[in-house]
Amino acid sequence: MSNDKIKNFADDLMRIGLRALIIQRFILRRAWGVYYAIWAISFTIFFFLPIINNYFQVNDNYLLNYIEYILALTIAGITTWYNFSKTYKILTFKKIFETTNNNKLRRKYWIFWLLYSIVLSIVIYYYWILSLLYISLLVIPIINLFSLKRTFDKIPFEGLLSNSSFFIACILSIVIMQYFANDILYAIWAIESFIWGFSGFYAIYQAHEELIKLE
Amino acid sequence: MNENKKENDFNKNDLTGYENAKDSQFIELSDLFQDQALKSSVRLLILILLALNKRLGFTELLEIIGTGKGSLSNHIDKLVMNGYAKTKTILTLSGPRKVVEITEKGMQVYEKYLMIMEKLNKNIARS
Repeated sequence: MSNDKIKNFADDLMRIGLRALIIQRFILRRAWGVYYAIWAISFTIFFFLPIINNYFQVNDNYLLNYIEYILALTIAGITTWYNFSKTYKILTFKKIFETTNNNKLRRKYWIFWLLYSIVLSIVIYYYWILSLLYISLLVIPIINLFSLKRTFDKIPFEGLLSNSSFFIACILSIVIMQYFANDILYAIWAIESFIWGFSGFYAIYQAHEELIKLE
Repeated sequence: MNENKKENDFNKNDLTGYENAKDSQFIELSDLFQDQALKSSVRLLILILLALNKRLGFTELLEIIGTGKGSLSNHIDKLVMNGYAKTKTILTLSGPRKVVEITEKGMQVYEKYLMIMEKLNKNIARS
């Protein structure tokens, strides 16, 4: 096989690969949309759980409350995991076209989320100190924004909206809990659920923006 | 003058990289792409996307590949006939949906593609 033929053939393969990577951004943006939608539902469940518990007069049952919250968290977590299950393959594929090595970073991601879930469950069970819970939740938008920046050249609008509002909601919750009534807290998280729901729909319907880069 | 030199160096390096990649695996892959089903860049693109996502809906593929319905059907039929992909109809909330899934044989082609691209990039970076 002559060098020219090899070069042309390799160039073709490279071009197809890069095209596939751009298309994957479209698919990943929609996956992020599903992620926002999953957690919008989860926030809503968290918002309604105390009301349901109150209706059935089981608010004092500590273990039952704990199981309810952990169950809601686990379902949302597993669905998120499933939703992003293709990411590993995409990262392996992307690595070929990049000069940096992301293997170590990926391993750290795994370890981080595992430790984070364990610590969060312990914090909820033993302390039930909500301010501590909100402080631990502050990590999520930071990690999300970092991941979004790595996936897309520019962080999409809905990513900035949902994550920055989540960060603000956590900070407000910590402050409000000290000085004001819990009703305001409910209102904040109701708004937050709406923002994440909106971000989900926005990401799903605006994902085709990524495909424009192909033209 | 300097810019021209840089450009020449780049081309030279580029070619050295490809020269280094000229081994049995590369030849094997190029042979593989002599298969009519894989000769088209669109079909290879579909195969890569299926490998990354395991399965994709027909309408989804139509949207992302950017070809006409008939053309896409043709490409998929060729992949299916040669055992690289299979089609299925699944039930969703919005009704039955036609999806395309990658097969074991299709995955093998993808793995080979990955391997050769990795090697090629490493060689280019090294040279």
